Amino acid sequence: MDPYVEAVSRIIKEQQSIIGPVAVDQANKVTGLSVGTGDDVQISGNKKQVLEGLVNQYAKLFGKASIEVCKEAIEPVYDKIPVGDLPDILKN
Amino acid sequence: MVSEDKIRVFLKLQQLALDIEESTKLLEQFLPAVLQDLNLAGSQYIFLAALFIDDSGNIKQTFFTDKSNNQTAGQVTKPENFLQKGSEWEMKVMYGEAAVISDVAYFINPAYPEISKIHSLLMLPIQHAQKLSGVLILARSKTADQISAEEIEFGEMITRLVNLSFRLQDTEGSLTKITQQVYEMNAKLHQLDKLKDDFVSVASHELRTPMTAIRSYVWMALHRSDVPLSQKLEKYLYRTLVSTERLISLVNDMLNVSRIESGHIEINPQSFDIVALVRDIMEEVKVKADEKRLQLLTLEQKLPPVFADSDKVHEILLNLIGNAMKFCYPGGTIAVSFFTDGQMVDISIKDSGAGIMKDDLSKLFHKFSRLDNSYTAVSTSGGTGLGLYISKSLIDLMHGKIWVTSEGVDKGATFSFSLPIASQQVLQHAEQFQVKAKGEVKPLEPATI
Repeated sequence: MDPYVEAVSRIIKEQQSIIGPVAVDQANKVTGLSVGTGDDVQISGNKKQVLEGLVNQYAKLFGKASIEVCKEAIEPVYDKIPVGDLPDILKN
Repeated sequence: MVSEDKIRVFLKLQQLALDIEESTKLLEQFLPAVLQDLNLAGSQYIFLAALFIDDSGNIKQTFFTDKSNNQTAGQVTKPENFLQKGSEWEMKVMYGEAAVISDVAYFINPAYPEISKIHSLLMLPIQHAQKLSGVLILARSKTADQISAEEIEFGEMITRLVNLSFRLQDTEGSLTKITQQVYEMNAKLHQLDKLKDDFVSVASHELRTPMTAIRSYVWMALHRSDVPLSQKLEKYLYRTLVSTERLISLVNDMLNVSRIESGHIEINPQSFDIVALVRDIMEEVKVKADEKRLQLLTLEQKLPPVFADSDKVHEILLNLIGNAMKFCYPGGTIAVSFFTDGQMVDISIKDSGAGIMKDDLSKLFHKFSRLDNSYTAVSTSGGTGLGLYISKSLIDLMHGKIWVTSEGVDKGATFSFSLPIASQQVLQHAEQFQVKAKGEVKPLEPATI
């Protein structure tokens, strides 16, 4: 699986476990991101920007705590994305 | 009387206030548009400032905009002078009237580059709930005597719009704050829930290892002892063995609950013959049933295949048939029957046992729902109070339903559950029936009967 798609999926799943279906609604508002009824996530355009957009979308509504949740969610994917390709907002 | 042109400007601004999406920054975006539109409508204002006060009259928030739009109210004006207690202008705005001020220097910082263009200030009260909640200040290029009643009236209309926008922004800000606080609390609860799951999982594993050893040694003491056992000692050892087995069952069930709730269980649906599966399970439990002199019946009929995870259905059936055996009196009967409406297959396990009181029926599928008077009284059944909860959780994951009926105590009970038929429509959307595990996939601990 593409590491960006995996990171996005993990973030949405983790947010879903905290805020429920709103997590998917908000994810679908991010430009370049499409989340289906199942787990299918599609990214078009710049993947780094889409990932950053998703984190910002949650942060806009739910504040700093949501950024920490995103960081924790993608911990298993950290090694798969080069540091330079990771949005600053997700760097520890 | 305000002219038609100005009413048009007012309506346009009203729509703009409603259209701004980011309400927490509403005034920051709205006020520049107000200044621009007022000037387009013929006014010659240099800047617009809004000062909001709290209940004690202290300045709570300020907004400022001019053509450069890069300064604050505090940098350009002396906000406290506008609200100077007992001043002529303060008295006016306090009573809801507009004040036109000529002494510009008293209110504006001399370093402001546009100060020479300002010849008067129009100060309009912002009222909320019939109280002064702030002032709107318009820096005019005209002198104080060049002011018309229309300009003041239009200014008052705009003030009401600014006040409404501020209220909207304030409410939205409060809502955002509350939403973020609720999110933080939810995130903490979620974290605690994870810790609890980890604890249950680790503790259960740690408990099971020594208990398995105890069970083995007690069994050996009972069945392979070198020394003859007294009747009393044999009784005590037997009780120890039964209790240890019950504890192991409880630990297994707790592990299963923890795995289901934390999403570590996978559902891999496939088409299979449910009647054949029931037939296999009846064979599995036959020895135990014979020990208790129970009659097992499978009322077979030709059915379409169901679409579910056969391993999980096996566990559910074993649990339900095992329960029926526990609560059936010696010589009783357990019958499994089937029904289909063309979309789902219902599987019913009917026993002639202890039955369930009507009031208790709804409690059965809850966690640790052991009832005092009937079906799951732990003292007699040895149940953990988790089996039915686990069955229900698994059936929910497989898009099915579970329910129970009983005529009452000593009148037996029927546990039924439904599963979707592997129809063309279901198979076309097979991925919707699959449940992927979050992280590591863990198996279910086998049910014991």
